[in-house]
Amino acid sequence: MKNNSFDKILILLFSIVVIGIIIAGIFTYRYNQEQQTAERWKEHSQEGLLKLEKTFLLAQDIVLGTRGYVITGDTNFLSSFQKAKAIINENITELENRITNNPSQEERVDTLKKLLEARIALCVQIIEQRKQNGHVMANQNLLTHQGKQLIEDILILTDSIKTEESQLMQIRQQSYLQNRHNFTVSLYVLFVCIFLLLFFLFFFIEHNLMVRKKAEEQLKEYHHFFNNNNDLCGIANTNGYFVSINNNFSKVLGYSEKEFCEIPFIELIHPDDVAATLLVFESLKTGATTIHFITRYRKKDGSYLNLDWNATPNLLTGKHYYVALDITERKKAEEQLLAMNKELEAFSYSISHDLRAPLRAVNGYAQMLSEDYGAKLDEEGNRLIKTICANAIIMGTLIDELLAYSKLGRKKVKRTIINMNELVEGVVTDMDKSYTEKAEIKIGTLHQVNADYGLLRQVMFNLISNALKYSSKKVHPIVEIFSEEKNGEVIISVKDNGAGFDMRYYDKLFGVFQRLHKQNEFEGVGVGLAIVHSVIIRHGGKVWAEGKVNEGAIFNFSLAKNQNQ
Amino acid sequence: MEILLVEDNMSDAELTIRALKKNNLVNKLVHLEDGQEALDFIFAEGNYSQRKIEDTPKLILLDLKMPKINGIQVLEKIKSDERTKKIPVIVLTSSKEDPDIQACYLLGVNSYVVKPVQFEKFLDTVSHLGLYWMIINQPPQ
Repeated sequence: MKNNSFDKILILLFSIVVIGIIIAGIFTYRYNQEQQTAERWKEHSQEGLLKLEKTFLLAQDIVLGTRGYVITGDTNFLSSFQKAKAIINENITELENRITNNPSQEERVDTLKKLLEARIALCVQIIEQRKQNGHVMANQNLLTHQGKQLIEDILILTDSIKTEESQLMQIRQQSYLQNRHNFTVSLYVLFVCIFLLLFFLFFFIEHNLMVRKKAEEQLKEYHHFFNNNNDLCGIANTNGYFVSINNNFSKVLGYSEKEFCEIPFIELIHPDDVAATLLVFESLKTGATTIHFITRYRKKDGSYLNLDWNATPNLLTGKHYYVALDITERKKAEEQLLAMNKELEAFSYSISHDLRAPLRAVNGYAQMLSEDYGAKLDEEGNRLIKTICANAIIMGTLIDELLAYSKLGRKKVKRTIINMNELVEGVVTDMDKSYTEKAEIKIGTLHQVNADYGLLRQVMFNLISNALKYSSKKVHPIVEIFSEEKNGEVIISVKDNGAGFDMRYYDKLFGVFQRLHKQNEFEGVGVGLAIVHSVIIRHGGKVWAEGKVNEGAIFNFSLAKNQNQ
Repeated sequence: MEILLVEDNMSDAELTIRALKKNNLVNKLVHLEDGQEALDFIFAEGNYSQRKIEDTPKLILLDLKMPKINGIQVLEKIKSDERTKKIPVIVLTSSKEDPDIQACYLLGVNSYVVKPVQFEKFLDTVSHLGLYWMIINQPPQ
């Protein structure tokens, strides 16, 4: 996603820069062309001015030549006249060429040409007169007003052409400078764009190299994960063949990678699992991911492994990525555990059944003896019978408690959020009134906990009934139930002011059938606290107690506040 | 014939009979010691082929744990036969931990009772049972 947007930005920048280069290039070319044109026009004007100058000089030469000849009769003057006359036309044509595309100038040049022609014609006429009629006649003609006027006209016209052309040249010079400036600017822009392009290219290449290097490093890393993994990892195609497997895969199954990739994997699946595997395979082809799919897989030695598969397809490459956990040992252990649990259940059942039946007989027959022959026995005889009965009853209770304890140990913990005040009040209500009526029971505001309701009720029942039992001999028994929250744990405490216990025997407190008081002091078989201990440990909590003989005891347990299932 | 007691443990049988006697409920009681015998008796087969099947007991007290054919199997046979399914059957067992308690109810047991260890309680339980099923409970006509 991030890379994608980066690419987009890069492409956008590239496009902008390339368009910039094209536009700057076009402008540079155009300004360059225009600059050259302007330069040409400038030269054109300069040449035009030169030609104009020369034409005027030639016209003077003609006039001077004519005048010299008329005055002196020297033919040398005539030849200079002839020479100027010969090239003046050529000059005018060139002048015309230089000032094309400007109608007002063209008109002026045209007039100039006519004036010159008229002046030349006048000179020719004077020269002819001199040749034929001699000096006086010609001189008269030479001094006519007409010649002077013509020259003046020529001079004025030449000046106006010059002025106009100079102005034109100035305009052209300006346009030339403007073009040169534009050309320079667009050239700079072009340079900047090219520089930017190079910069982006460099950046792009650098970035790509970096990404590639990173990807290669990552690939190497993943390769380590792939090959050093204790799971079985493999990549398969949609034709049902693996194309690559990791080291552990071949180690566990006993095939080399090459051997393994030549076998359609369905052939190695336990016949009973083939149908289910094909279903999963088809669902992978539609893009679905599979987790915890268990199949039996045949090793090279013919034995089967239990594999727990997770698989992900890639629809673009048509490859399936498999990771499997070898759960053969776990499966075996589970089966063993299941068998052991079954055995234990049968054992408990057997205990409850087979031990109770003879006890019932012992108790029943002793009782029958007492009923039928009690009158014939003395007091001691009757006391012995009673002792038999009482002990049979105790043993019955022991069996019941032991069974309850073992049953709790096997019960699955189902956590819910428990309102402890409701639970504790329920427990107290259900208790024997002879205990609860005498005692003062103080229940604080209790924190809620996340635990198994049935098991926790049993815990609270045992703790509260213990507290009531051991404080029952006090004149004013007090039982307090309270809680606190500490370090993410809820601590529930049950405190009494009863018989307490000696801390020296603390380690016996939570053991099964362990008692710190004599049977004739307080009845009980010593399972209650063992159950409390077992339940709290199974919830991941802790149990502890403090006591002092004849001063009471406090029993606490802690449960994590936010315990997940 | 009013009560059929199926119980392989002689002591338990004696205790049961004594409890019933105390309440004068044993004017007609048959005690059988295993499941096969019980089935033969109820369905008038084998040694009991001269019996009439219509002559059903008013109440069957059935122990679960018996050799050969156990109480569950006997219960299943009784409750799956039209001729006998109306007979009230009370299962007597030694323990409430019994995994068969669910099975018994599914098979249509009328009552499931745990035999207490204490003699007085045992007497009490059996006499309650007898009184309830023999006198209070109204069987179908």
